[in-house]
Amino acid sequence: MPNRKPLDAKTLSAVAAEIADLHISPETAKNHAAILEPILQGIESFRRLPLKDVEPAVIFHPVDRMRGGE
Amino acid sequence: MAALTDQSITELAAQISSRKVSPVELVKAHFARIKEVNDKVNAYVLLTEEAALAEAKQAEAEIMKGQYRGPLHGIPIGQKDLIETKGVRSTAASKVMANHVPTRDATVVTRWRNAGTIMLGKLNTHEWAYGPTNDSSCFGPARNPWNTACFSGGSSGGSGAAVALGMAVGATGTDTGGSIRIPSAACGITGLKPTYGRAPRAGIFPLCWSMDHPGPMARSVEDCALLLQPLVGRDPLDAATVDRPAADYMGALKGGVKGKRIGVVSRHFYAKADVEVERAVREAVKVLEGLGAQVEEVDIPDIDHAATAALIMYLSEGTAYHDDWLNEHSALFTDQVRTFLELGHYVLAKDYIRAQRFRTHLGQQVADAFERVDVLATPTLPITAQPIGQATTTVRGKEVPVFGSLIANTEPFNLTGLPTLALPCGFSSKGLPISLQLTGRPFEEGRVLAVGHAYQGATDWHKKRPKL
Repeated sequence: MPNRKPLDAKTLSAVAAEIADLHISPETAKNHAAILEPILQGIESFRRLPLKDVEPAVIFHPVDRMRGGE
Repeated sequence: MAALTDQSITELAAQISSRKVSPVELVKAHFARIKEVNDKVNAYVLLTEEAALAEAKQAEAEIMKGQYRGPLHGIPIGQKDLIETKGVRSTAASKVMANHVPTRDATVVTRWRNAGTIMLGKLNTHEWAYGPTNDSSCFGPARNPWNTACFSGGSSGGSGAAVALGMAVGATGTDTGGSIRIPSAACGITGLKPTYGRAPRAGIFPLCWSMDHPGPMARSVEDCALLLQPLVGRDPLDAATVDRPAADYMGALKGGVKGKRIGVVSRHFYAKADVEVERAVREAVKVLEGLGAQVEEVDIPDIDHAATAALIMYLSEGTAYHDDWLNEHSALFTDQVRTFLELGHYVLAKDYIRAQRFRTHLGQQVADAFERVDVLATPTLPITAQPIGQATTTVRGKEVPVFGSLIANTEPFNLTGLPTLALPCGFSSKGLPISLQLTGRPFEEGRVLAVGHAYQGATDWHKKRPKL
């Protein structure tokens, strides 16, 4: 089971600055954290789905330059 | 005979082709209607009256010379403002694009124009199509024609309101999490999200490349079939489009529903719906049964994870597209859309890939259901339209978020890319429309339309019109 602590504004501010290069106000960080926490709870549950042998629905196509249009 | 602004494409086409009605007369009637009611719902954000009248005169001249192009020739339509129109401002309802005048038409615009339709103007949308209400728009919200205190649904809310009120015979919508079907349901009209890759996205601002679907919105299934026909087919400008022969969609309508197997997914789609919605949609399924369909309960075991997967997709792809503008023009976005875009910074790549794996997984589970049935029948929305700006509502005694509820039943079919139709099937006690959602196997638009057309042949919900 995950042992993640609920997301708080301080953690979010740090992640935003260090990883996303996004510098946000304490008020925005608090707002984002409140919205993101339930999303993360959904993602935690989502990560437990058994998808080991399932390929992502992204198929690479080599570029074959197409011309024209309508 | 009904007013020109209240007739079907088939009715209008018969009069236009026989020269009883001129496209000029028809276009003028629509502009008169727009001037009468648009201010009450804010559906159109730009009118192209001069160009439309010029095109109508050209259509009239062609028809008089015997050069009738087909049932869409001279038919007035609106284009969602997310869609680029050459020489005509196209903003995505965002201040970021306030002065954007494209140098090209989107392929869907070209295809409808080549079929003879006449564009009346550009229609309001939720900013960048990033929301299901149309509350957030730089032009202000599009309002619901059945109750102007309520939202029209989004993102194609201007299209929904315009078609419902006779300000256009049909309109384009785009659907990433339900944006054709949600406003169709909220405004009491019919809308079709075709299979992913059926209709081209080129020239349409993306929200989420892998889930964006353009399609028609109209007042009946038959009109949707006619409007779909020219949209389909491979487009060299859109790598997602498929090279498969299009069906004859008008011909497919004759397929009916007799002997078709209709799947009902009670657990996710009905059990979480408002009681009035559930009752109306189950009644609609009974109508289909009465027409000769066999109804069967089916399940999609992991459907409840669809919301999380779809959210990861929007947040990741949406922020990837808008990242530079978010840095440069953050203040120009509406608060809600800016917040969604900022939240996209926190989604991990592994979760995005997991969401893409889930799409395969969900597609397999839905395909399992389609081993037993031909079409799935569900409520399009678990709730009806709500007051503009209201964040939560009560369903079966529980407070639920409006945004999440609006997309809960529609987004599984964006993840799976399946053809899905929304059509009116009743009204709530507050007089707001309720909608039936029909989903088919990939590229079986014809079958879905046939079932919907049979339903509309037996009911008259799609003939009800709002009175402002």
